[in-house]
Amino acid sequence: MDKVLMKGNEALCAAAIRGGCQFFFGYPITPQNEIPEYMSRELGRAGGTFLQAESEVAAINMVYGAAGAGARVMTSSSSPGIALKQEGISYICGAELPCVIVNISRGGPGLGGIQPSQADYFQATRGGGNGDYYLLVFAPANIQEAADLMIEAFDLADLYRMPVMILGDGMLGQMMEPVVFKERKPRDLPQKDWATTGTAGKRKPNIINSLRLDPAELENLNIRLQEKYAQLKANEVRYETHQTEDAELVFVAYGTSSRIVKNAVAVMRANGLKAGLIRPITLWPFPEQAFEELPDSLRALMSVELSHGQMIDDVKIAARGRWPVGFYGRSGGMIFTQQEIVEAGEKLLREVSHVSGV
Amino acid sequence: MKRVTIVTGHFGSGKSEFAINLALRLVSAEAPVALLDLDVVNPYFRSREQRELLERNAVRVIGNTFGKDVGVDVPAISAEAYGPLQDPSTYAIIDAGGDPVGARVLGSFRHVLPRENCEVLCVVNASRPETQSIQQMRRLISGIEGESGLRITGLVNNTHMLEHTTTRELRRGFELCREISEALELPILYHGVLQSLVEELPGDWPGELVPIAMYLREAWMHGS
Repeated sequence: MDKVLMKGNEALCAAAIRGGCQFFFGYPITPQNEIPEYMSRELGRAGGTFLQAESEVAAINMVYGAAGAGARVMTSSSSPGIALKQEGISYICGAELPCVIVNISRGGPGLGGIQPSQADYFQATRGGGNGDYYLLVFAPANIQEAADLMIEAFDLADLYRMPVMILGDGMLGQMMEPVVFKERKPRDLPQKDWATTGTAGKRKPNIINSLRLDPAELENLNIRLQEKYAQLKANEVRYETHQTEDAELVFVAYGTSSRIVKNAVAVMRANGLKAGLIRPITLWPFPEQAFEELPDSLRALMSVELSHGQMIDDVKIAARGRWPVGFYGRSGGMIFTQQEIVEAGEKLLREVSHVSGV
Repeated sequence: MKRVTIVTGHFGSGKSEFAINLALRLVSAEAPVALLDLDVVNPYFRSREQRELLERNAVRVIGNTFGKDVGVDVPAISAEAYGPLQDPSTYAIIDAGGDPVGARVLGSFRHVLPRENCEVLCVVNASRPETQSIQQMRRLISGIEGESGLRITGLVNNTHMLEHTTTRELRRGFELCREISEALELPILYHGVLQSLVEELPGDWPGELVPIAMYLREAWMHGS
């Protein structure tokens, strides 16, 4: 297929259909409405089923059902709608079911607003529901990457039998960019011999369940989940580093923010200040490795987010006290300019120099 | 130029950028200019986000009634919108919402539009997957006409890939517009062309070139 111009929300859908999505269950909310709109039009044509549920809670439980029956299934929503889905997400993790969840996030807390925000980092990476579970969380920074990761998301969900979340802020959903859908080799994936597809009288019924009243059995599930998470940390971490090799200041930013920060890095370098960027592509697992490759020239890190500081906790964990960690953020749908970031970065470096007596 | 120009088309075709550029171009003329943003579909990238720039350049901007246009997704439009449509001394440009659903709003203004002095444009972007063929465009145009109760009177070749646009896209868009033009007997009235590409286009295309500056695109969006 030729290069086409698409909105982020549309590209995610086109990629999902290419990734083999068979079912979509969702409920409308701005700024992700183009997703259910596109799926309602196109998924049926591709042989799948679109269903608008009566609520977000219903939608995520339909996802549970379809995933349990072995189908490739997704849902999407925006921040408060994803909050409503948390119980279902925890159940899906407890039942070890694969699915894809898209959050095109907006400002919060509560109903918040409809403009872009990155204040759902905790919700996505810390488990909004109960129990010891994680999601694999992808944070694309442009529409091509969003499309590529969406196709990957379905494969990885099946491979690990767990939900994969695509977290993009409203800007990524609404903005337009050229996209190319590349042909790719399908992965070798395990058979879904656990799915409830009918016994044909030849085997014992498969049971999809997240209730385990025997504590030893429940602990075993948790141990198995932890082993899975260890594999994810070993094999699925993704990140980009940009001009970190000789940097004095390294920003950490993802999604839309990372693009504004990249421009700020260019401005700072033009001013003679050596700045760089670590861009996590997986928010969970967080790319701690990226911090092990930082140069001796580094004097400070700065987390830059469209929130009042959530990812900064992971940056501090990864920094392990080796460097001071600063922060700059805006919220509520306000987006910082590159100039604001340049000034915040310069200020942090001045403060660091002062403390160390340089 | 007609006194009222209505800009319709598929969402993402570039209606709002085209409307903003058209409005700014008109300012030097003798009559006052108003831009009516009737987009109640798109939550982001609306022409009224550029209110400050437009008003600084003497274009009156009318959007919804709440003053907090950018964050409000209530489908409401200020009654102020009737003013420029009924004032025979004002040029009015209407930026309609995308697709037939966005064009539906136009129906409520139909009775005040100056019949003989009103252009209804359909913006064509052949780089968008939903508007690449004559069949898709026929469906879109008949949908817009059905929902708005207005006849499309002209085409705008606004085929682009944002800042990645080359003359290749514009030529492809022109071919598509020519097909639509022949099939539906509609003139090609404008070409929306990035300022940097204006010199590279052949001089013999029917219609007027409108050089496009991308006002709704932030600097950071150019990188990846």
